[in-house]
Amino acid sequence: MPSIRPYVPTYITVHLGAPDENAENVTVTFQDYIKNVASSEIYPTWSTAAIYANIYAQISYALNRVYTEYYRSRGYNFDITSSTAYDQKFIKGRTIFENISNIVDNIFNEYIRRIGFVEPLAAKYCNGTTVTCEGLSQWGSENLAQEGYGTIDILKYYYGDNIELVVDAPIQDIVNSYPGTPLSEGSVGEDVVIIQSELNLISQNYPAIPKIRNRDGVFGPETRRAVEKFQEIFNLTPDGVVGKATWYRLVSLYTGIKRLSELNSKGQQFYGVSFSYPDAISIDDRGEKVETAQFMLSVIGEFYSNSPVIAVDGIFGPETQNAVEAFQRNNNLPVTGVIDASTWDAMYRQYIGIVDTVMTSGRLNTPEVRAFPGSTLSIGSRGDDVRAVQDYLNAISLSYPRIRPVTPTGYFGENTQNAVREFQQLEGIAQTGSVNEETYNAITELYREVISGQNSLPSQFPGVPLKLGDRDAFVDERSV
Amino acid sequence: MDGKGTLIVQVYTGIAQLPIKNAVVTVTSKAEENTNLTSLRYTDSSGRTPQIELSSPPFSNSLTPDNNLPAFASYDVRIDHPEFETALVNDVQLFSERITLLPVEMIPLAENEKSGEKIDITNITNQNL
Repeated sequence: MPSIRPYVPTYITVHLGAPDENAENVTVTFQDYIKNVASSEIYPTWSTAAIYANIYAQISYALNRVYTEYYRSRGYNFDITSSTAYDQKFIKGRTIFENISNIVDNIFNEYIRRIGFVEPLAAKYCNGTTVTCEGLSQWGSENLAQEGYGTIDILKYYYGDNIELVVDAPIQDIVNSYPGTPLSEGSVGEDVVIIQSELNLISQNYPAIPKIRNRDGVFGPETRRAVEKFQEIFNLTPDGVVGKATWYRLVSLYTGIKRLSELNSKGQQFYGVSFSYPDAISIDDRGEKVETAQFMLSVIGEFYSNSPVIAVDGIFGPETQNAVEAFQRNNNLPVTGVIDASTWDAMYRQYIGIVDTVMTSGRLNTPEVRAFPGSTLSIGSRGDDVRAVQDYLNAISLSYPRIRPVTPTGYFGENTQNAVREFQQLEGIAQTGSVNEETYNAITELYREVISGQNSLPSQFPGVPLKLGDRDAFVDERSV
Repeated sequence: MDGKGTLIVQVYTGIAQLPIKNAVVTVTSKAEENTNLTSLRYTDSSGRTPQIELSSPPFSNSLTPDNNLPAFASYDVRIDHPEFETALVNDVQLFSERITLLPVEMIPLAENEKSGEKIDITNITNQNL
């Protein structure tokens, strides 16, 4: 059943062939999908009005496929195909034209609909020379633009007067929505804290972005410099202003890095687990061997765009089976959906290759944290998990002095309980003084953000000029 | 070809887009009979090459159909790094006065896989215009 209000999906899965063709599926962000389609369908030298009109048609068509669940409702496990006989042209791994990229970044959540109707218009189009159709003519749109037609006039010319543009459609799963007005030097508030946190985390992997030492919600020159560098690297207009395009690119990169870091942390539970082939694994199996397999597939899914990312829940259901089949297809193995010895072996080799190249080589620079131990930590608790929480709170206290540092003994005493309460008050969580999963995750998240701000990589500008007499914060702390 | 277009290659790995520094990017032109090396660059700490200027046909060629004039110039781009599978992108389109971005997702080598053993190829086909 279609949902009531059309939204823009975070990701879209594209089948690289006709629907029934045995071809791979790739999952890309919606913006990247449209950038790819636009670059595959039209020329970047065309008039701006024509480019906008074509992109609006492409967005609307894709959103219609998603909203009506056109393929999913017919039992396919993808949203759209790359075949022009059925849908829009898409070439995995192609070049993107910068001017098209900038336009898409600004309008990706806007679409055409018929007045009085809810669904995005299934906007048809064709080239207008070798193929004619009811709908937009691509060459025709460029001719009209050259004659002085604007974007809306071009769209109405081909789709009729009874259409309208929906702007600011909601975006699926977005934790932080664009506030609606651009943020720039002088802006103050929670949205600026968000930008600063995101920039600092991203700069752990992109050292050319200078650190913002004071994550204080005030958009000053430091923040502006970091924004400009970010924009330069990611092909956005480098004006130091966070408008819609920059905002969503920040969110997208931040989310991706955070997810990979969490997966990396989850990997700790597999230290000491044997990765030797346990026996055939298939649908309806449960338990540790399934979890290990799912974990490997998830890591592989992060680095192979034709492999889906799946939940690591220990239950081998249809989602896991689908991922196994995709893996087998991509590796020229018999597509059985059952993990036999050769499938397991191939999975392991790809998984280890990724771990060596990315995780242990230091390419993933996000501060490592321990995963939640599984049960609440409170007064009287002891052990490495308590010690870790104390370390995290101490690091946080460098930026939030209201939280008094505690001696990291690994014993959860009254001082630790007070520090936890202060933290909970800071974050607006119930001040229980105990660390349940919610509090634990909030602690590790803030720890990561704070460390990213304090912790410059060797070649990275730390965010404030250094002068005679300066010292590193950590040096002071450790010598106390 | 009396125009110029710009190419920027951006190399990364994974959905999280971790940048790959010191990847070798080689650009060859398809225009000449023998493929001559047109450009060789290394990626920086953000995984990016500097802007690479390349010859392209006149801007106006791509503004009308059926004129039998080439709308763009074609180049092949190869990306190598010792820890990742080699990537090859064929028929990269360069238009005059336009910047072409080539984001390249590289796949980490599997255990026992050697650099250059497997090449991930992308072929860019023309717009149906």
